[in-house]
Amino acid sequence: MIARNGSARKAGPQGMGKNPMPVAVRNLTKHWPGAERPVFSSLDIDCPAGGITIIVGPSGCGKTTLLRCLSGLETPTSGSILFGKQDVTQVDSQHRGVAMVFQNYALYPTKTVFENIAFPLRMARLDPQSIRTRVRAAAALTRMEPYLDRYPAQLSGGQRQRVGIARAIVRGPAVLLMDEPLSNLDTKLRIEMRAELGALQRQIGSTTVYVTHDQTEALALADHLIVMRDGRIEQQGAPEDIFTSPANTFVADFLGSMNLVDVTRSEDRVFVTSGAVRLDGLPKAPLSPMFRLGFRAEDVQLGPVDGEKATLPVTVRRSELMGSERLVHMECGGLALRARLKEVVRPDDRLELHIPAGALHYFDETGKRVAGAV
Amino acid sequence: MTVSPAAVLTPIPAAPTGMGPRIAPYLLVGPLMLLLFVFAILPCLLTLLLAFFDVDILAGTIRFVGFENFTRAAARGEVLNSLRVTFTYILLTVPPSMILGLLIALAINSLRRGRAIWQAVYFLPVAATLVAMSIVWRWMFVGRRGIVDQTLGQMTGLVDWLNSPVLSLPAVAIVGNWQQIGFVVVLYLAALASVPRHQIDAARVDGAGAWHRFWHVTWPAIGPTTVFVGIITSVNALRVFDTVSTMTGGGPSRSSQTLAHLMWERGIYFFDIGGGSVVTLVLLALAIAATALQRIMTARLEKAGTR
Amino acid sequence: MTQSIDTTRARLVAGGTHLALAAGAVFMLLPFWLMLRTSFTAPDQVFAGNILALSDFSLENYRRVFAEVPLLRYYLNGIFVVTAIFIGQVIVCVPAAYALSRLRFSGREVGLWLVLAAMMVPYHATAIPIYVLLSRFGMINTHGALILPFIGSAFSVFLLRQFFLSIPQSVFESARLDGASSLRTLMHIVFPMARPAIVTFGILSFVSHWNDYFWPSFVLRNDFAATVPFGIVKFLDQELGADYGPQMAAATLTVLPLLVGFLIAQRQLIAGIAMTSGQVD
Repeated sequence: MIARNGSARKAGPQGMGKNPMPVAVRNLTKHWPGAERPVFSSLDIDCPAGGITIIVGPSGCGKTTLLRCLSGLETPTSGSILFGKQDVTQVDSQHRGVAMVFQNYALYPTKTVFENIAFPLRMARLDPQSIRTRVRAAAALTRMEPYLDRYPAQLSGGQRQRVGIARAIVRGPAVLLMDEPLSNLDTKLRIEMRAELGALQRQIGSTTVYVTHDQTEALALADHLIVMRDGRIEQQGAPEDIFTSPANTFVADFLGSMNLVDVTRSEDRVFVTSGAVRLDGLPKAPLSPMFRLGFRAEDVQLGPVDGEKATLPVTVRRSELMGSERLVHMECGGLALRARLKEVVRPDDRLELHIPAGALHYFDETGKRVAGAV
Repeated sequence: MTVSPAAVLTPIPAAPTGMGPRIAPYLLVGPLMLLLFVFAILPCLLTLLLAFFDVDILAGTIRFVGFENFTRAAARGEVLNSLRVTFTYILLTVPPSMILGLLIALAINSLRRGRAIWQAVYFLPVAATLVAMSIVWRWMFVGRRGIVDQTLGQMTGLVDWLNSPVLSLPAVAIVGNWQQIGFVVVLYLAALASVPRHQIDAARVDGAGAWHRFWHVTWPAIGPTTVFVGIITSVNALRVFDTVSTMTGGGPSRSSQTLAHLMWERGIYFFDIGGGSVVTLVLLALAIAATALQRIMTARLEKAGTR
Repeated sequence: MTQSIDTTRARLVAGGTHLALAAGAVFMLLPFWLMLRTSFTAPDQVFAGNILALSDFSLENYRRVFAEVPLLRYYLNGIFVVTAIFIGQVIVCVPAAYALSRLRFSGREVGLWLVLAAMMVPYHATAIPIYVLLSRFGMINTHGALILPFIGSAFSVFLLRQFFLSIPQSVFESARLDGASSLRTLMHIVFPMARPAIVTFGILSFVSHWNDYFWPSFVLRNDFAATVPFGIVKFLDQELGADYGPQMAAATLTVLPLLVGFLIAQRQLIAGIAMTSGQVD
């Protein structure tokens, strides 16, 4: 019924009566007193109203601190945070009206599921009738209705996080923050909950900012994706755009771990820098003497390829069966490469890899994208 | 038509901003800070002051006397005497109650059935009102007709303990041990519960006998507790008052007068605030040194996760 | 075969252990038995016959204690003082421990330092200056003198703080984001969560202050505010020189409420002692 509505990319009619507002960050810097470097500096971010913005990056990149600044639990050193047109930088978290889902659930252990979900409503001094109606609705959306009388200690991890989510949405928050909400769950549950969470967000229609270190989660859920490293934004935009044309080698490697090969051009020929292995093809390659070639494991082909392509001679090292295909570890001029292949290959086989022109990415020496697939 | 659950969850406006968050922490800690200052910090400063004054509580007068309180106390010799008594008392109570307490704890810990009952039996004196039990012990130690003189006294010839300058302090120490052993047992049992079971099993598989298992596995694990129990029982000895006060009154001729009892006698019984403050200074120095040591150990043990 | 030899040996060892423990228990329990035995023996029979056996049963000693000692007042004083200390400690120490562990405000470090410093000073050592302070405010011989010094308990704040630090910070942050002020977080989240710690503390505080004789000896000169131990001892010393029967009856009446309480809350009390090492002040 309602849960099926998840495919709509924009908040549908279900997010009724709400005016989801965009969340924006302007020139935001957070510097801990006494720390050598800022956690992040001069960030500019625009989170679309009613959509899911995902901030992804390795641990220590500043994504969680950024989220905590949005929640008001931390105060930024400088810059401003805008909810819609309102500057909320100086508003205390108690009054900011944001809701948050925590990695460790952060449930109140002495309260039942019902009272956990009702807590934000009690704090807003809502009448008992509305509290009951809203708690029921939030519990229905998270499929926690049968458990309203239980205590958190009597629930599984997945159920606890459902309570955390119900508690966050029960107030109909304009802004919903999620701090690695699925990271404490096991893999199977994480994939299930991910789909549910996406569908739920469409129904609620709150502007959502979601922090994770898991790139599959990021690609699966994001309307707007922000990749962070070392307190800087490496790239932001639609997830498809980022995946198909990563702005630099970090993003390329972080999202879908791209094979990266340092290449040297001398006269008319190109070689793998480390092993002087000659490469053929390389359509649209930059003309500079040094650059980097990137391609993803799933874009590699063994058989004949029509049209323009690049060709690399490799030696097979290891092959891992992954169901219908294999992850093959190979070596080319001393570099380790990976490919997903359907064909059966054996260690020490010498192969020619073909990558179609559309799947080739080129980066300059500093790692910046210069040309290639669009 | 039923309303979809999501439609119910319309936005609730956030509470308006107030001054609350800024002043709340001070409201929460304020009362504690005031009480700690008045009843812990201020008294320390006051002690230093009072030791150099002659205070008459009844008349409400106060007069600077310099070191007179100290010279008088030295002339009376009672502070040194009480220091000696207190340290003797520590020697008479700390090692015996620790050794017996450990043995009892090991015995209880080795049992499969009846652990709770034995623990309760040995713990009973800890919970019982000490001053009331001191009255009972006074009756047991009464000359000639008390149970001690009628049994132990007839066998050993040691009689009328409470009126003997040699035996009065040991009598008080016996009660101290009696009262304290259960406390030591509980602390050791808690420590023994945290000795990793698999290490003992491994030692057993390796063919280690009971003594080796104790010496190589159990003892190292409860070592920190032993240091801790030693300090804490010593600190408790500094405050011994109830037993001395009811059983011997510090006598005969100050042979069982601990520092705590001397402090009371000087300051409260004789109304000599200055003299009492001199004793307080000594007691305070010892207590602060010992509690500092003990708190540091507590913090360290808690950090190490031993307890 | 070896199996059964081993079990037999284990049984023998366990039996021996029980015997040894029982021998020690005689020493631990003897004073209690003598107290009861003497208290139920008629005054003229106390020294007659076997000193350990209860040959006749008499309530004469109790009758005399009840007739001559204002016991009811001592009990009421004790209950009042112990309850007031406990409530005061909860009201003062729990919020402070919460603020010192989970709120950020300037001056927090100073507050923590004060708590640690106060923990170094046992009140037993500073009884005289506190006595002087209390007498300046005319509080000698009042209930307040028995209550006030114990309400700000640095050690309980320290332990509660450890307890709060063991709870994830996100729980408190979540309450804040849910729109709860610090005070409402305290009432709705902190107090319910701290309940087990508060119960443990209450039991220890109750035992320690109900039994206390030291402090009343310093701040009480008459029995107006006397708690049971102080009142009884004062009375005994004045009225019952060598009348051991009534003395033992009085001692029994002093110890009894706690022994009953001990039987009820034995587990918590022992666990509490193990947790705090018996320190409550």
